[in-house]
Amino acid sequence: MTKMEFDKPFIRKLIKHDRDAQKAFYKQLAPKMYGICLRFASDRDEADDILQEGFIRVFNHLKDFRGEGSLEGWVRRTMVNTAINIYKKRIKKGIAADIEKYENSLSVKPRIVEKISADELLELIKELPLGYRTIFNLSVIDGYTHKEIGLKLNISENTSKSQLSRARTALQKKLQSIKDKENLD
Amino acid sequence: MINKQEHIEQIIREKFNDFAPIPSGKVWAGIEKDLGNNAFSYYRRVILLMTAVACVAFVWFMLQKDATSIQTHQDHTSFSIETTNTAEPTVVELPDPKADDQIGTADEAMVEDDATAAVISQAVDVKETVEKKAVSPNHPASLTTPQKDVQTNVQTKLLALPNVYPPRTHIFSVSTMPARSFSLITDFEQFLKHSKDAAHLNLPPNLPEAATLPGETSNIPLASYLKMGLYYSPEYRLQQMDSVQLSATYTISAEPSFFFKKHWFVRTGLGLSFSKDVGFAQLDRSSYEMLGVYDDVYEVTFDTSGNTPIPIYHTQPTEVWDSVRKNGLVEVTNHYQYIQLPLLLGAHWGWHNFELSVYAGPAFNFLVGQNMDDLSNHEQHATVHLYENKLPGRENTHIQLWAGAGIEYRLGYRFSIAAEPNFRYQLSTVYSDPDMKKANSLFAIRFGLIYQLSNSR
Repeated sequence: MTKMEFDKPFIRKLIKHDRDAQKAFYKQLAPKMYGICLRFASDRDEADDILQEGFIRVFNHLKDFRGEGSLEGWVRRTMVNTAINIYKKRIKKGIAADIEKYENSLSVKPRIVEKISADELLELIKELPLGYRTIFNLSVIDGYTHKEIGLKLNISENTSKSQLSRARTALQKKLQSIKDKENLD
Repeated sequence: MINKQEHIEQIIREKFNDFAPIPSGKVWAGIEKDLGNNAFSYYRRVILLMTAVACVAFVWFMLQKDATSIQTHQDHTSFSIETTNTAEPTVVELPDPKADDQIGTADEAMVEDDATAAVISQAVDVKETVEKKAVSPNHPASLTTPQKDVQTNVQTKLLALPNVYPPRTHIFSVSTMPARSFSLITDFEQFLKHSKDAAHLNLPPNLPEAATLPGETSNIPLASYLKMGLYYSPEYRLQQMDSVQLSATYTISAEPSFFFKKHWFVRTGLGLSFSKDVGFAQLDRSSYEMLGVYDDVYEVTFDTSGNTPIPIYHTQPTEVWDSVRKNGLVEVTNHYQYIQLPLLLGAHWGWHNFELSVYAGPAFNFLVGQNMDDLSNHEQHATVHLYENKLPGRENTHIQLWAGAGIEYRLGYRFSIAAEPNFRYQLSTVYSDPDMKKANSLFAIRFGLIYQLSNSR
């Protein structure tokens, strides 16, 4: 995997709020970070909001980056945290979708997942309820442990595990429906 | 089930590894708006610079108002000439000009060090004074004055020719201090025109004629004449470009100006401009790096001195190297050199020692040199997969339309200095990149040292 690296003079310019450096940095990282935001958001507008707020936080708090690990990884974590904050706000407002209809589970074969594109997979993930989607992203794709997820979302480890289980089930059901549709066609 | 689940999730992770959709442009616009514009824009810098120059000029001008000027002298249509009732005109020896108590005011004429001449002074009134009219070189009275008065008239002529040797306060002098001590240009002119006798004064043969008789303000001669100016000009762009830091362009030029018909002039010349763009390049490279060191066992021996053989492991430190791929941005600077050829038409007006002008015209710029930063080799032992200088390229020629004003101050007979703020509009684009083809405008302030060449009729 290719590592995104930025030399120290460039990072110093970012810390000094050099506009040209900020724009170049944004252009370099925005596509990858937008992919993260799309996974967490319900739609593109919300993904735009997460991306915008995430980069603002990056530029305002870049001086706190201690150089441990890569800058790209630090930006990635900042973007995920921004997505989580927006998720919490939606939870508070009671916007979380009804999850009971996703209780049934079915199994699908891996080759079905291999056939679909990232965009199609993204659409399936977006159809998941907000809570399932968030935990699925954090656990399966971003690699957080249930303990870390619990701390971020202010939930217990067990809640995180059960939500993930339900997210997997819901996703499998969607993938199965795609497979059935292909068989019919 | 679990294995299959993990396999599915592995596939999902891999699919999102390279998932990089392009966000909409409004996201960056929102980020920029929220961050605000912390740095001064070029436009603000230009305004600040203009204001600073105007303030300095105003303060300097106000300081000069205390000194008596040519205008004050020229306003007097008569002088008091000190004389006695003798056949020969009285010559009053001037005190040592270098004396500390001498005050260099405009009432005193500039004379050579060891020359003596009549002093035209309003302050001194030892004997009866005779008022005489101011004499200009072409005044009919000077041609018919009797012989014994010729010398006086010649001297009077010398001292009453404000355009030749006008008493003035020079840029380096203050009214309360000896002007000669600080007047470098005047001393240089005096050195060139060193002479005792008025008849052998080394006056310029093609002296420009005064446009008017003393009493009027204008000192612009009617005859056409040439000036040569050496200019230094920083130029600033008034618009920003994406991902390119547009640095100021600096030009040094030599520009002759031909003055004709009292108020008009044409100017051309040759300049050398230095410009640079600062931006970023993408550098994707693999470098061979040491990841760590471990102790490698190269031999095992046994110590059999005791009952139980004890193995002895012989080790040596071994470095672990591997290829690490890095992809990032590095800052680069591209340098450009241009030949600049302006073609300007203008008008000018005189006011005291100042000359004000306005001008406009095209300026042609030809790219004669460029140095692009190439940082692909900046890391030793690295394999470069991709090096892409993100800075846009420049066109070989571009044309600007200049419009400006100038203020020129006479330091001496032939030398003057000038400051010329001007606005420049880009008639053709500087950059070859289609995304950068925007018409933009610039601001420049030119500082010049001007030398008046012999006039031509």
